[in-house]
Amino acid sequence: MAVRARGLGFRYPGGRVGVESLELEVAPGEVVALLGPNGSGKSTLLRLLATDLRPSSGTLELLGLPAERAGPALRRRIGYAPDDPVHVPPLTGGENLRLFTWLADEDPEDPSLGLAALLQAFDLSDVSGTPVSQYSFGMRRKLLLAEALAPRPELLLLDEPTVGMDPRGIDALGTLLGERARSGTAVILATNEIREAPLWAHRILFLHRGRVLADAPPEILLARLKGRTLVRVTLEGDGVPWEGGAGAAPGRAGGEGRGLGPREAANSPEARAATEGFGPFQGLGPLEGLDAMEGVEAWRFHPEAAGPGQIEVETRMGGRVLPPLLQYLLDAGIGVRELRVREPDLGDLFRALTGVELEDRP
Amino acid sequence: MRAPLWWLEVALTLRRRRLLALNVGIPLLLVLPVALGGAPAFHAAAVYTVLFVLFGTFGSAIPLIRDGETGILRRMLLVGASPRHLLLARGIGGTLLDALQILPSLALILLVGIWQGGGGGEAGGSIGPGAGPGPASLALLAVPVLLGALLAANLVGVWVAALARSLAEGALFAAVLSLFLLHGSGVFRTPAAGSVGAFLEGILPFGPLHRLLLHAAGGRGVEPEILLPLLSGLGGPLILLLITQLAAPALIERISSPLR
Repeated sequence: MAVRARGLGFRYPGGRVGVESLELEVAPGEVVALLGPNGSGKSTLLRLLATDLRPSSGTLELLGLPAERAGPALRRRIGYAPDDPVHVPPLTGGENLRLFTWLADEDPEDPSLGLAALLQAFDLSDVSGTPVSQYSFGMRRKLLLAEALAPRPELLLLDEPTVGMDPRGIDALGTLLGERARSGTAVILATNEIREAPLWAHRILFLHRGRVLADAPPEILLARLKGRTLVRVTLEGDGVPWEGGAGAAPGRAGGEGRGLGPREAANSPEARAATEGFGPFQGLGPLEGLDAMEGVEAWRFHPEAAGPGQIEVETRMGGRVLPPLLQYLLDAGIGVRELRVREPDLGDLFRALTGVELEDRP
Repeated sequence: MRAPLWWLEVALTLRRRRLLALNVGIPLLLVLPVALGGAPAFHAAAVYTVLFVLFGTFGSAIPLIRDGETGILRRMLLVGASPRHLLLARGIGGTLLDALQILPSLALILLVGIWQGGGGGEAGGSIGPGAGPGPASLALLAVPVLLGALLAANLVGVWVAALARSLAEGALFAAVLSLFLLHGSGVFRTPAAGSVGAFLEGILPFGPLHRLLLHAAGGRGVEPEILLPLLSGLGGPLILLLITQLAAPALIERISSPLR
């Protein structure tokens, strides 16, 4: 096994939980994507695997060796790209790449390492002679990935590798990761790229508050969403003309067992926060009728919306729900600015499990 | 052939030409008025020694703390660099750079001593062409003694970097620890023979440099009574180097700790 963790835990000084009771096995050639919101433990787990942090509890084996005895020899077999792209600023990109390859005890001049090809893959060939201090954030991220890949590590750990990268860089990374995995490198990446993660990874781990909520191949996770469609409705003006009884909570979802979001999710602090400051919230007004509408499995206020100006409806009817939904809203006096239909993704499944959004959705 | 890691330190500094010019020019500017001003040799030697030692200690501690804070040191460790190799490279690279930057000042001190021709004396004297052997003969000893003191100062800087939690703390600790060691090395007072102070002066690493500069500022050459202490004094920095190497994994872990 490239990674074997048993009851792995880490607490930061002060007591904040980084990861807790974590069980993980990653085989050579396997690509595992860690998904979770900020603070879920993704980066902490990667830092433990990179031997940057020492576990507070449990056992951790890396490439067959106990992590607590990690020395330079083990670290040279691990490629780690942290979330912060740190380099030696006065050196050029090419010099940094050679330096970090050399520090990993590889000969930068060895053509089999393909340093020039790596620079080319990340579109850095033209700027390889430019000091890193003149690089943009995205260029520094790409250089960091090249440095992690260059010594051909057996275990590759990438923290948010696509942040700040252009689409070509993301494609290049996906291709390189596939190649490395086929040659036996175990890859673990923390990401919130819900589009790329299922394409790149053999397994997806949902992390929340330092614990693993789900660990399965992406196709199995996505199968749980099969047949469902989400419709996001952007309402005109300030949103819903509120009225109704006192005391009702702003935001709701379908009944127990229905829909992607549990009742708690809709009434979560996030959902409340999204509607805060918009009118006298004394009830759901005309939206209450959505409960009874045919084809509507569940609905909720969109938590990232600036106010109650967006709702998201879940249906099993696909696009056929649009005419009755639109008709209902117009009859209720609610203007509609935009309707957007999409298939649910891993972010929706994560929200269903945790009540927490994985990422900002455009 | 791959360049050793200490060469990285040197290459980076040579690339920052403005900083290099400042690091050569500022010690010269500080040394020049003291050397030409007819200061008593004891006072002049104290000023030179303090200047050179602080140059080495600060020059090692501050960049190490900064590299710990930026995370570059941590990255190098996580890539697989050996802690002992890293600290040795910092120590040797820093020493060579400091020597490169201080040698012009040392040369100036020796030249002024030669020009004074032994007339500087303990109480200081008039400046003019000298007739005696002067400190010219000290020049041969000056380079190894300076290197030894600068190596010790750089290693003290490593320990300071491990103790400090910020650049400000690093500057404070570097100053306090250096002055303490300089005092023990007999830079600010002459200990009575056979006293604890005299014993400390013999083993602390900055004594040889002070003695050499005292002789140079006083216009004196190599005399039998200083030759042996100067050469044996080089053992101090080597012992400090050995201790630092033994403690290197713990020191660099502290300096680069992400949870600092």
